[in-house]
Amino acid sequence: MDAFPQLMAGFVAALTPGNVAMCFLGVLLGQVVGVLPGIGPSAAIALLLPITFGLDPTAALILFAGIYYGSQYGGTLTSVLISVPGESSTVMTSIDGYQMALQGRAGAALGIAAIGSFIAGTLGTVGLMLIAPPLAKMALAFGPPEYFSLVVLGLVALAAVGSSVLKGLVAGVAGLALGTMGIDPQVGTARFDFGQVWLLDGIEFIVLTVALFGLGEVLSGCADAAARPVAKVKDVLPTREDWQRSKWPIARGSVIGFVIGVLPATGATIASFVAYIVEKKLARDPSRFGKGAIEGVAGPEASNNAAASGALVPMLSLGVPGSGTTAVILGALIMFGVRPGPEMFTTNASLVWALIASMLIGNLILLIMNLPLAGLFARLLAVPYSWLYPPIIALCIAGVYSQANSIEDCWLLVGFGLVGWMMRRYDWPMAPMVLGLVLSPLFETAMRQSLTLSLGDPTIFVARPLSAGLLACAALALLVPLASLAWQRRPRAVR
Amino acid sequence: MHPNRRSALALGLGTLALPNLARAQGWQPNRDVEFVIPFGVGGGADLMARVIQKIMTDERLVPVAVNPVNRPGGGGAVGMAYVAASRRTDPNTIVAINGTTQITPIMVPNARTLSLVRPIANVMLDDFLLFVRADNPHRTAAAFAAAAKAAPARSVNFGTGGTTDQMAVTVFGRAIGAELNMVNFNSGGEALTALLGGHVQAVIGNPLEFMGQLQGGAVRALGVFRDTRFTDLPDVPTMKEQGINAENFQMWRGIAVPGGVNDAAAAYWTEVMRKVVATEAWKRYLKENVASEAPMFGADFAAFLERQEKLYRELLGRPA
Amino acid sequence: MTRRVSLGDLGLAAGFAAMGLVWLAGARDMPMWERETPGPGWLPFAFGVLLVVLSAAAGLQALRRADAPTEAPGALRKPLLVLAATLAAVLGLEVVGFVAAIFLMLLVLYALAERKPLLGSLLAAAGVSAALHLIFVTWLGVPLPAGPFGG
Repeated sequence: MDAFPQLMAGFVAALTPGNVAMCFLGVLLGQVVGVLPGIGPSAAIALLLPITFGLDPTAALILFAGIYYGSQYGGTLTSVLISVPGESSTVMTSIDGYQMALQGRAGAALGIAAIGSFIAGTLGTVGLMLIAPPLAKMALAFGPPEYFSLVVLGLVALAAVGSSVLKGLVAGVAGLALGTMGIDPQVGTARFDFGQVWLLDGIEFIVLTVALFGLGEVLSGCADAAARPVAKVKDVLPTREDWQRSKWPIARGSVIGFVIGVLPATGATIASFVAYIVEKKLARDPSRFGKGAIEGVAGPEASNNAAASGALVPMLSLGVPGSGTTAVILGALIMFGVRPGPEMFTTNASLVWALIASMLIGNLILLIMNLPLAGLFARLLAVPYSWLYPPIIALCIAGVYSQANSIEDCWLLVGFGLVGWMMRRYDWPMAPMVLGLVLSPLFETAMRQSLTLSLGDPTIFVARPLSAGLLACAALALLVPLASLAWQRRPRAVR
Repeated sequence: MHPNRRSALALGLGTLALPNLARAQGWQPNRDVEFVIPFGVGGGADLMARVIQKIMTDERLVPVAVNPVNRPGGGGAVGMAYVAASRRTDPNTIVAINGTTQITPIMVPNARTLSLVRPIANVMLDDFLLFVRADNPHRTAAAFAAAAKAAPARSVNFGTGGTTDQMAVTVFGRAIGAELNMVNFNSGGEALTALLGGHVQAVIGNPLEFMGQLQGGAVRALGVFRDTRFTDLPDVPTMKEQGINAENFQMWRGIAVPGGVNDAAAAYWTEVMRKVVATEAWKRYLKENVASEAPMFGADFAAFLERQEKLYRELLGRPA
Repeated sequence: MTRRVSLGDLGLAAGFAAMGLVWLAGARDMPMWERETPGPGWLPFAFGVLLVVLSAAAGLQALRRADAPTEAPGALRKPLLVLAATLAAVLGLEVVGFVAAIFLMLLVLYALAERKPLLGSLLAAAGVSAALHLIFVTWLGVPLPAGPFGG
């Protein structure tokens, strides 16, 4: 590989004042849209597109990519501080991150998230630099049967998220069922629209998460808002012990995120779920999860950033979108006269390497920006909750509305806010529900596509080695805990 | 066409045989224009609308600000319902429409789309080509068709990225007399990825997503579903040249105003759109998107839409 | 100390079971198979069955365990007030516009639910609604409902 001289040329291109400014502007904007629930990086890029027509493609690509990975940093902020996930990929962060904030450790949570994101973003960029083409070829081997088996593996993990297996399963299946709402992607039949045109696209993920996690938390927290002690802000930065606990979750999260990000049909959201589940499974004491375990912040935060870099792999080395946001970036590149194809790395080498260099710079900017911000924003929680929660509701309404400029989504916010309150009140895990909603369309589409390919023959799932291997992993993940349960004969583990 | 009966009666005209030209030239937007895009931010429909908005502003074709507003959902039905509910007679509102908005009510009978608005102009046609992976043994559509015909029914897999692609595959399958197996994906990009991975053998899709792949030699184009070859792809023959009698198949994209808007405003917007499609910026956009120029207005456009509706219903097996 | 079965658990289980029944009923109108592959009704039916069965099991578990802590009856009052204020704000969004609806909601929550001093409530409500308008409408161009009072 002669990556080094090309990277140096990339740095020369990325370090021109104009491009540094673009990079800074991009990560700053990404940070802002990441914080705001409902507005994601793809919307921000599309809105900026007409303004950027005059730019040269390199500057524009640096800007857009900056928005993309910057938003993964920003989404963490609201997840940790007020339990409102700013991005769909930061839902898992809000579980343990918010608990840490309640314990006065918001600074540590935000700090470790920033550090983890920086490490993962940098590692992801290095991965993009060194192994993108071969990795992209491998990703192509993932067809419908492989995606089906991957989702099965994810579904097995679904019940592992919460505190009660049975309640978690109910919530998970409810999420799966919600995911079947709207126009069926295979044959176009409208399902469970209850005669409402606005339900033809089903329920948007971010609407459900903001309602369950954001509004639900406010409703369950406001009862004793006045009596609630103001969290003492301690540990503005992560301690040595935090770092010891987090370093391996960050490393694992980076790898998991990058690999899942490379697969075109899966992205940062699923990567963060997988990272969380892996950390919980590997933890010596899984019962700490959900009560403020820093590993539950470090792993998912690393993985969603690595996934953002991973999603650029198929885009740059194959010219196909690796996620919803990269699809928008691809569309934008065409408008700038760049035709994304299989040879971007050679035909557009200067563009690609400038982008890679800018990502290394941008992640550094984000780290420098976010470490002081972590301490600063952590102090926000010194404001008494009785002053804090009304604006949180207002933010939820504004964010949910702006997701699709739809008043009906605000109805869903109120309805699912009530559900979220009840679930939290009676200790029903909510993460399996949102996980079910994400996995449901992927599961159904992959299953039906596979069976269409095989004309109804179900052996397609085991006849292909990659798919069979994934199914075997799923079976193991299901059987090993059951077997150990039977071995120990201790029903305590069910709780 | 949707003449505004109420205003006609109020004027005591009874029937409105000729539009009042003086009045038609008289109307101008009297506040900021809302450009409703019934699709999500960042998609093909959204990009097109934002380019038109930019042209309207840059070339000063509209004297006020034009503000794009996305009302996504339900294959255009949500945006159309919004226009019908709160902008029914507002001449300061325009809407982006396309083939998908026409397909939605065919597939989902309780959704209404084009019947709620008054189509003004068609601005472009998206074309379709037959693509295979570069290692496919067949170098022409004719050879591919012969092999597909000889193979057992439904053994040749086509990846599709939406209802429009499915109709194109139906057109091709009928023309060659073979039953093709359609595997449906969520977008053209996903169908392309499946083609590159060898999970499907062919895709009939828009050239836009495939141009880079063609230039990079990852896929091969076997035939064009229109009467003439592309200037950018002079080596790719049309289906008809290869003896495959496939109907021309293209997807339209255009602009409409709310259903209750009067003729004066409709005439104003028709005039604006005539100017938009004549600009250099628009022609450049079409070239970058490898799309066909096809300006159509008023009665021509309405007749075209009627023909398309019939074709879609027939291809989708959903007669009215 | 008499009520020991968690009514909340039972209620949630019943709610999810009801949702399962809706899915079962809805799936009956959809084709189960398209040729040899599952049709649009197949998975909704499967999820409906699973949801009913699992919810029933969760309900039984709640009945059997019966170790719920007793709840203070007043604990629900404020969350319900907050929920009502949120609902009212959403209802008013397209009537009076975003800024006015959010301002009134914040005022009600501060002054009534939290019994803050009136001046402080007014200032905070005005500041937050103005800030949100600035961020979402002015900077990001989101067309939040304007209402009769603004633009």
